[in-house]
Parts: sequence; structure tokens; C-alpha cells
Amino acid sequence: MIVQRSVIAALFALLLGMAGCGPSIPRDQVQRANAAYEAVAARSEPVLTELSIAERRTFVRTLASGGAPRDGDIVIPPTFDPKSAVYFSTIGDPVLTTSLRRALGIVGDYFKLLAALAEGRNIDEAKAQINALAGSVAGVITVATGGAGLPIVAIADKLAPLIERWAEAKDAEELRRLVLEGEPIVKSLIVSLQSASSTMYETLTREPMRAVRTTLADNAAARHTAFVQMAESNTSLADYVVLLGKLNDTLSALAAAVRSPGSPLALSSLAASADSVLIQARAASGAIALIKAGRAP
Amino acid sequence: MTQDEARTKLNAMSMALTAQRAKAIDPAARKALLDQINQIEDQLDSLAVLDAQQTAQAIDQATDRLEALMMTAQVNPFDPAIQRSFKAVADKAVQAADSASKAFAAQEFRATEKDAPEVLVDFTPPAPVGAAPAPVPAPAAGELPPIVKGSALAQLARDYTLCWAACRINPDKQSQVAAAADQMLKGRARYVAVSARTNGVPWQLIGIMHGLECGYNFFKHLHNGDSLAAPTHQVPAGRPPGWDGTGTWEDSAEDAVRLKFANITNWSLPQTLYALESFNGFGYRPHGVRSPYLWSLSNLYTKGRYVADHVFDPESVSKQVGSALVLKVLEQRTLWP
Repeated sequence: MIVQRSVIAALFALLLGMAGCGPSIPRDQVQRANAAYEAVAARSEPVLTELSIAERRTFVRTLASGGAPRDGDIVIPPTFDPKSAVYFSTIGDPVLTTSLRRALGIVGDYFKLLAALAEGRNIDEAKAQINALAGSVAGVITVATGGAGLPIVAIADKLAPLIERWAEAKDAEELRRLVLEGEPIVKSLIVSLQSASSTMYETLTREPMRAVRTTLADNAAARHTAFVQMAESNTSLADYVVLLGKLNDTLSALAAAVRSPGSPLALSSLAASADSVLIQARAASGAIALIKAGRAP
Repeated sequence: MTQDEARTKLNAMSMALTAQRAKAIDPAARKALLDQINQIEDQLDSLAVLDAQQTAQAIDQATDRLEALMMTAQVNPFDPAIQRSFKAVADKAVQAADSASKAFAAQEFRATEKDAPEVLVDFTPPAPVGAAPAPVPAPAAGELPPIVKGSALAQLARDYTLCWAACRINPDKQSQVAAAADQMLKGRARYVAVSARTNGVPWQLIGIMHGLECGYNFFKHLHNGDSLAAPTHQVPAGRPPGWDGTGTWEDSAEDAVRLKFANITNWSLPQTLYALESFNGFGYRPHGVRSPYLWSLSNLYTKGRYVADHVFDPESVSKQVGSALVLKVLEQRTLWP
């Protein structure tokens, strides 16, 4: 009987706890911010693919200039250096590309997590855990009371709607915390990514720039092709940097919406910033096509 | 000159020479100019590689901060409140029924290296009260110190000093040990906070302990890695006293540190290493093996570990990072002592 009273008391306490309500979940806002990230990710992918190749080729040229054995374009290191493996391995990317992919991946995880919390995608899995726990408790009580256990599982089923509402409130609280604590951290990371674009540009244009000064110096057509390649890199990087800036703005607007839920200013600002990111991301691919066609975008 | 300035200057030189070469007619002069341009371009290539590596480090640091935040994300909305409630019910049921309690008590927990024999075997004669510890001869240069058997600080203090001096991280494990130190340093601010609440127990020790007991998870008791949702149920059970699951990690950590290190104020190197070894026990010494808990991945440990409760396998090799090695890395970074 002591056990049964304890169980009832615990469940009652649980119900009382669920009666409280947390902040509302800004689902639309989070989805827009997530979409803005997706636009950046999509734009960055071809740039990172090119960067990975450029990093490898630049490193190999430094080996060659240092006297490494070579036969035509093939250069091999005189001794195997594990620290340089990333420049030769067919698995993964060289250092800068790896860091950029990791950074963008974690920024993506962050926005996906916000979306998962906003949409309550974690609740079903958590409810399954609760049901399993309820089953365990029922089993233990059956043993403890010699078979006269409480119908814990049935009670848990009846509580399901309340549990779900309570879980949504907890998700909203966690989302709010992650947005407010994450805003300065993500913004700092975005600034780092934007700053890194200078190095990315240098790496991406190093080979064609060297070529126009040396091997292609006397070949006007080939020089033009190399310049087109550098112009494409410039435009791709510029789009990527601008989209990062827009993502930064979107995050600001999301944080404002979280700080002041329902504020018309916050919502309209968010919608405008997110929409502009998507529109500009779509326009970017058209600009590259113009460059390839020999026209200014 | 900064790297940017050097790059700008080299680019200007290369462009000037390229323009000069375009106007040159003499093949020999053109070739000489081309050689000069290539030399400059080689330097620009090297600068680009160096710049990429440095930029990658800066991005990694910024990314680490976001990753640390993500690690604190509470993705299960029912943790800790509902799970705590159900667990509390289960605990009460277990306490109320002897049979259920016995069933729980009889459970075999996961075997780890932590499961050293509870009864420590001490083959060294006890030191007389007030007497100085028996001297341990210093090893010759290049030799490793002898393994001292015992479980009292007075017996082991010199051994720790000699081992610390002789310890070399295995060259192929340097990055693994550095990564473990990096992981620990992510929680530095929280360890410093607990240190301040516990009369200066070294934050480095608290951080290492957190890694060993909780895998750096801030949702677990520092005592033994049990969930913060309820008081500890493994040894030491029932900690912190009166814990209702609403306290912070720091609250529980303070209890753990005070419980383990009551009355210790002088945190010398031997004291710190002694504290670390004591978490896991001194059961390796009777087997003629230095504790991998301290020295794994260094020249002081080769093989031998507990693979289950009271089961010592002399051929099994620990792959964990020895806690003393993390301290070694911190020392290299002037973060220890």
C-alpha cells in the first residue's frame, strides 16, 4: 500500500507539473531560418568541392618546388609524412576544406535541432521511452506487491495528451535557450567563415593565376579561360559570403522573435530576411551562367 | 612583415616581371624572367598553404564553441523531469520489496577497468608512524623507475615524482592525448567554478575526473556517472544527500569533490596523482603493472588490465588515455600546475 500511495503521489506530482505552460514555439520562424541555412549550404557545396581540389594541388606544387620527385604532373613526396596525408588521401578533404565543412555542418545541425524542437520531432521517441519506463515500473510494482500492481501503463496512456503538451512546452523552453545562447556563438562563427573567404579565394585562384603569369602567358585563349575560372570563383565566393550575411540577419530576426514572441516587427523582419536569402540564392546560379557565357552578371 | 603584406608584395613583383617578360624578345632573357616568376609563385604557393592551415585553426576554434553548446542541448523533453518521477517510483518500489531489492543488488554491472579488487594488496611493510617513507632509489638515466607496491601516499609519493619525470607520451598517441585534453578544456569554466566551491581542489583534477567518470557529460553525477535525474544508485549510492534531481551539475560535483577530497589542502603533484590512482584503486601494483588509469599510452604502461570484476588479464591492453598524460599536456600548455 505504501508503494501504491507513492506511485499515485508521483503521478499526481507529474500532472501538476504538466499543468504549467511554457513559451509558445515559433515554428514558422525556425523553419524560415532553417531554410536560410539550407540556401547557404547548397551554395557552399560546389565552392568547397573546388577548394578541396585547389588545396591539394597547391600543396603538391609546394612539394615539387621543394625538390620532391616528379615526372610531369605526377609529384610524390620523398618520404611519407602522416601530417600531409590529408592532401593525398582519397578519403576526406585537406585542412581548410575539412574545417569549413565541419563548421557549416555544425551550423546546420544547430538549425536542424531548432527545427526538430519546434516541430516536436523528438517527442514520439521520448514518449516511447516513457512507455518503456512505465512498463518497467509496473513490473517492479507487481513484484513488490505480490502481483497486485497498479495499471501504470494504462495510466500512462491516458496521460499521453497531457504529456505531449508538457513536452511541447519543454521543447519551447529549450529552443528559446538554444537560440538566445547560440546567437552570439553562431554569429561569431559566421564572421569567421566570412573572414576565411579571403584565404579561400587565394587558394582557389592560385593555380590559374600562376598559369596566366607563366605557362599560359603567351596563349591568349587559354589565359581568357583561366580568367573566366577565377571570375567564377570570385562570384561563387561573393554569393556565399553574402548569403552568410543574410543567414546572420535571419538569426538576428529569429532571436528577436524569441525574445519578443508575436512582435509584428520581429516576424516581418524575419520573413523579409529569410525570403531575400532564398531569392538571392536562386539568382546566384544564373549569374555564374552569365560569366561562362562571357557576359557580366 | 605580415603574411598579407608579403603576399601583396610578391604578387606585385610577379606581375611586374610578367609584364617585363611579355615585352622581352631575347629568349634567354625571357627564360631568366620566367625562372624568377616561378620562384616567386613558389613562395606564394607556400604562403597559401600556410594561410589555409592557420585559417582552419581559427574556424575550428569558433566551431568548437558551437559544438560545446550543442552538447548541452536537451533533446529529450522528458529528461529529467518525467524520467526522474518514474525512476523515483521504481526506486521506492524496489526499496519496499526485499525480493526486488535483492534482484537489483545481484545485477552485474558493466565491467570496466574501474573494477579493481576492493581489497588492496600491500606488499610493502607499513611505515612507522612519524618515520620518513622508505627511500626509493632513483633510476639510472633512460631507465624506468621500479614499480612500487602499496596504497599509502607516504609509500608512493616518490614513485609518482619519478614516474612523472620519466613519463613520455607514446609518439603515435600524441594527438589522441592532446584531443583528450582539448575535450576536457571545453568544460574548463565549470571545473574552475567547482574548484572555487571546494577550497581550491585543482580544476584540472576535477576535469579529468569528469572525463573518466562521466565521459564529459554534464548530465551525470561526478561521483560515478549516474544520471543527475536521481541520487546516485551505484557506489557511492544515495549522493548527494537529499538530491531531488533539480540541482545543477556543479551542485552534485561539489558534493563529489568534498566527499573524495575532504581535508586535503596541499595539492602537490604526488597528491594529485595519488588521488587519480585512488579512483580506480591500487590493484595493478601487485601485478607488477603501473595503472593504465594514470599511464596508459605512455612509456610507463605496456599491457595488463582488469577486463571484468576481479579479473586481471596480463595480455589485455588498455586503449584509454591515462589521466596523468592529460596533466602532461596541460603542463606543456602551461595550464598545470
